[in-house]
Amino acid sequence: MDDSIMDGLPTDAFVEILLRLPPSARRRSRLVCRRWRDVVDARTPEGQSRRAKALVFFLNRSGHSPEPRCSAHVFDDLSPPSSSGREIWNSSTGTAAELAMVGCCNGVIALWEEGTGRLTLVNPSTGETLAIPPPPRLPPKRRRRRTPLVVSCLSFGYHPITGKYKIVHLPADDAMAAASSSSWCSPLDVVEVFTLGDVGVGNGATWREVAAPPGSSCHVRLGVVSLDGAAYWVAADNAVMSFDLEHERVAAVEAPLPAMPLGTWLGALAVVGGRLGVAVMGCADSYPTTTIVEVWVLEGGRSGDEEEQRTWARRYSIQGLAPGWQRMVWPYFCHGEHVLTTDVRTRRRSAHAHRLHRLRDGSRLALAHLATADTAAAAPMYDVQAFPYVGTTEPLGEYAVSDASGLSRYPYKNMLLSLFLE
Amino acid sequence: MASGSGAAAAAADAEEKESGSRMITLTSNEGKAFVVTEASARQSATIRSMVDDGGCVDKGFPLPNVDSKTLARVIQYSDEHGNKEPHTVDERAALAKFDRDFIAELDADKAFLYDVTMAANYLHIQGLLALTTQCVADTIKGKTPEEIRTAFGIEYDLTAQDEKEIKEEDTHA
Repeated sequence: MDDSIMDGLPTDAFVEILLRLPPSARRRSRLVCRRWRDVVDARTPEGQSRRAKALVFFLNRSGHSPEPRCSAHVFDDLSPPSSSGREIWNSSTGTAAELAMVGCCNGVIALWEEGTGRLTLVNPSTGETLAIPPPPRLPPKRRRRRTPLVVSCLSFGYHPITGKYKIVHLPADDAMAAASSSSWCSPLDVVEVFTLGDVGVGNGATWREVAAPPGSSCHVRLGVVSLDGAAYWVAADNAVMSFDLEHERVAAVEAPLPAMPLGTWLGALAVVGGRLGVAVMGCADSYPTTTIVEVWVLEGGRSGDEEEQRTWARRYSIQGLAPGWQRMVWPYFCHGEHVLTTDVRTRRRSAHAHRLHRLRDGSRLALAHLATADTAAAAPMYDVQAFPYVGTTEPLGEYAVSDASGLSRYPYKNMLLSLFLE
Repeated sequence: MASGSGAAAAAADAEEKESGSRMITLTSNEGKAFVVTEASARQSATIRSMVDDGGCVDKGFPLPNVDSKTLARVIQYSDEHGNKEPHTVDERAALAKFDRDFIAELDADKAFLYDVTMAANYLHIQGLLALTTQCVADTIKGKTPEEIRTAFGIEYDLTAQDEKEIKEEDTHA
């Protein structure tokens, strides 16, 4: 045969093949030829993360402001001196709902409402919204708990091969975690999962429980991160656990987090350059009023099918953060060549981007106070989160079909958004 | 390999057991007719939607993109998966073994594997597509870009600049 046998293969079938490769092999396959590179870039998570923009989500805590309570901004360019970003969504002025962002997949944003525990999916590109009932194991009393603690037990993920969106909830008991000596580590017996759009199968419309292996646990404050078809969290003794979104299995990742030096603590799990990362915080010996953040990345294949050896490697450090007021923006603090922080003193809807510099020894370093991405506004206190964002026009409507009754049971009264039902 | 008449005979048996199930004729691009049970044909989302839309069930379905050899092999898969529903552990294990043997045979003849992959893609037979694409992915997985080009007969058309950019992006990612 003169031409490549792959030439006759339609792109859709070729994409199926690429999606079945471990991410590392998929990245490597961009070096095969132009067609492979272009298809990987256009149709796989690796290409998506390359095109992703930084989405910054603000929640106005004070409630006294002419601005909307919550808003999401996308920053196309983080170069200095400043960029105001585009507001892609807001909760409309005058509404009471306090929302936090759970995650963002393929341009669809998942939000959590404090108080009711309800979840809402929003597609800012099309303006559609879809309500999801609260996870059953999040009892009404706990739904009123402070947002960061609850949101850090939720994750919104997408499985690239099956094309399914899932919301994962770790019913970690924060009361038990607080009482435990091992710093906010809670026992975990099940994982709750909600699958969108299992049309015809009929089991997608409700939360389901998946048993976790005996002795499982979850660090309530370190967050759950969904990446490449699995959700990850940190368990006791620096173990990293994963929940496979396709097979719905809980398993330990064979690479536990590296042992932390004395005087450091784990910040949170994060997505760093399309891979699972963790930030390790510590104080600089020489200058104890600043915080050093070391960023580690899990290298090798993903959990699930057979894989390359996975190990944690130190990627770079962020120095010069002022403790107390200059904070990392979770869980997507690293966007391309920038690190995102927020300044809690300014009381503005602002996030700061700091450029990573490559040092001679190959390590990389970000220094604070460089560039500002800012949407000027007065007064209130803001909770700030960041996520990678790729716009989409994929309709949410098709996911509502299987759960029309569920939607009517949870009418979304507080927000001036229309429910989209086909 | 299931021949046209063999598949038809097997299908007729299945119909006797399950009264009311229709028979459907699929025609390859060489004009050869294959008679299968509706259950088997419904493994294909493409045919399923045509049947449900009240399409030409009696006249049969011409498949201009699929040759007889490929169609016979695809029918072998969809008969196995469509005509029986595994209930016991043993039945499920038997089906898994069928899949393993089925793909092992295809893996030995790469050109045919791509034909079946294309047919599964065109007919939207999700299970079969998963099986064949996973098989190709397994072939790619452990190889360097150079080895992939050799294995698939791909011409190298990236410029030095392209390659440099890809490598840089990768270290930055």
